[in-house]
Amino acid sequence: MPEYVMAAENLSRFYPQRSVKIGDAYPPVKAVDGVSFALKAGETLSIIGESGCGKSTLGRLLVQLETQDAGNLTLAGQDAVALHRKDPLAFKRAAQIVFQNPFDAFNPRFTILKSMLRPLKIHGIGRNDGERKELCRQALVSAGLTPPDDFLRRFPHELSGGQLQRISILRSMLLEPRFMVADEPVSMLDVSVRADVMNLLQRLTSQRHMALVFISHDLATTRYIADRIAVMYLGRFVEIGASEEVLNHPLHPYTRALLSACGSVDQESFDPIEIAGEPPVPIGAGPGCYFAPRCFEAGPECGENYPPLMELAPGHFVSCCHCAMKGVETP
Amino acid sequence: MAFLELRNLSVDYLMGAQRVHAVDGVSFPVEKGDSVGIVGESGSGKSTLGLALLRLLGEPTAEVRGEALLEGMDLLTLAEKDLQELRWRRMAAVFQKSMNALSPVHKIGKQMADVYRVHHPEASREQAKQRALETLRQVNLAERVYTSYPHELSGGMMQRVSIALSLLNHPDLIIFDEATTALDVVTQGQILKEIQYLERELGLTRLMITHDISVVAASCSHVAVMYAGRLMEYGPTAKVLRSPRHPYTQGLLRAYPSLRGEKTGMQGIPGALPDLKEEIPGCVFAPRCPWATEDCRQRRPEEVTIEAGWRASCPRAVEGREPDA
Repeated sequence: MPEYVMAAENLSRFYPQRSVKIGDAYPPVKAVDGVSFALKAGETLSIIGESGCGKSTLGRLLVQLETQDAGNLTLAGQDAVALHRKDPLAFKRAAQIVFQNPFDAFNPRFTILKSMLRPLKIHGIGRNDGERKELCRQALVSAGLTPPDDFLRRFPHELSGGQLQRISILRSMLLEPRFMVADEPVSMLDVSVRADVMNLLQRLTSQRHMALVFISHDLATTRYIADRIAVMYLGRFVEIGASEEVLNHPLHPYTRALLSACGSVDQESFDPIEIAGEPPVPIGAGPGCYFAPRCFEAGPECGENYPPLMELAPGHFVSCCHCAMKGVETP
Repeated sequence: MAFLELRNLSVDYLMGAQRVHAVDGVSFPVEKGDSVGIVGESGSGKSTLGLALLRLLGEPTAEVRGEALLEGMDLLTLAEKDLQELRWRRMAAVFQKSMNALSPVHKIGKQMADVYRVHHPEASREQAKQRALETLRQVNLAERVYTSYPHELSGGMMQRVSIALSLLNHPDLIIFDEATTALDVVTQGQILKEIQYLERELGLTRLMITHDISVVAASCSHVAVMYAGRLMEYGPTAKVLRSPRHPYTQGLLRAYPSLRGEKTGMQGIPGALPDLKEEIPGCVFAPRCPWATEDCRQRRPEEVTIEAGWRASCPRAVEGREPDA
């Protein structure tokens, strides 16, 4: 059995809705509704989906910023909840997260040096401040942020978003995590500086042999970094597979619609597939396929049972009854 | 004479004794029926350009120079009274958060009918309602939206209402300032498709201000690439995006991952935006440009015509030259 860095099994997070009247039970918001996957060291899984599909909640579950309501999560074979309870520091050192807005991730009153030293001190890395400072310097140099002392003495507002996001990633990497979640790390950066952040993330992931979950709504960026792509809709994975496979041969109707709606720089024509309605809220969906009410291929059978994820091509899983019946056409 | 012609348009923001050169000498023509995507990163002046055209900038915080001729009328010097005739009827705007401009305590229908009747005082209630319903249909909204309050609609639907509002008085120029940015990919794709259909039907001309090149690729006939307030390259979208001539456009496209075709690396543009408070005698992109010469830093580059309707402000962009790999 291969050793997985991170494995999720049927992971779920439901937010209860408070009712106005006592005794009135509102159905919960099913932000994450039974997600399963496993990640090996050095592998990057990208999770894509529209706003409200639960991708950020899933990211927070993976690093235990929230606790799941059902399902199991293991970090290197050990139960994550138990590990986090027993030794939170050790867990946090192993599982890091980088957020969308780097300006929120740094204390505006601290210099970069102080912000970078703090996690090192807390986790007891380096014998003294001199040693720790040297680690920070090396990290900055490795990312091309030179001269390092110039950056270390500055405050967050004196840096650009791209520089600060790179420092945010470097700061997390100083702890040598085995697993990292990057939640939309480049979506608020300008195009010309995105590449630096992406390249840094990719290089560090492969050098340190770390597992990465990259959360994004941008398919083109995803393609660049991910080994595998998972498409999420209303709290569930509807399709997961190798990234080129998913992007070139999307099977699930939702993935196809999503891909067709993305403009690409080099495209000749633009003709998005129409899907009816607006993204619904994840409350009381089902019992059939959650996408069926908007699906252009839905039939009566789609309303009965939620289709399980089925492997329709090697490593390419899709949860759609129509795709399963049709089988995969080899192009 | 083009339908809309920008001539040497410049905007300075005045901050005490300092001047921020937000837009600096931008000229390009827009023919009737064109859709021009104005792309640039933050600080490129693209939104300022749009605001200046709408005459939403002025003393004491901004100074607008140059000309913006809409069928020969200069939008920048027009009297306020004539401007009122123009707004909504000839030109309309949709912003990223246009939906926030909807009143939360009035039904959509009432707000739309109000806008219509301001410009058509002779219209009856029924006529205003019919016109509102017609535009709602044009943007693919159900009739029930007419009797809904804004909070009952999703973000995508409210943005569609904003677009319907902009169409209400039959304008021929529409300015979209990041109008689809806040929307989900699927909704954005559908709205872009609808806009293009409406354009053909109604003969609209559109300026599309956006940071997202893929939006321009999907929906615009022409593209104007801006950097640090200046126009870098202007031309037909397909040609500019396929073989960009200006080093900045080339860099921007290399930094942009492609969804289809061959998977290539992502390459950033080293350096940062110049300080727009300073006078820059040469090319604004020179400090980040791999090909910059001493001349580039000293003298403002002249515009080079690559072919009719396609030009770039860089001497390297000369005709027939292959883009650098």
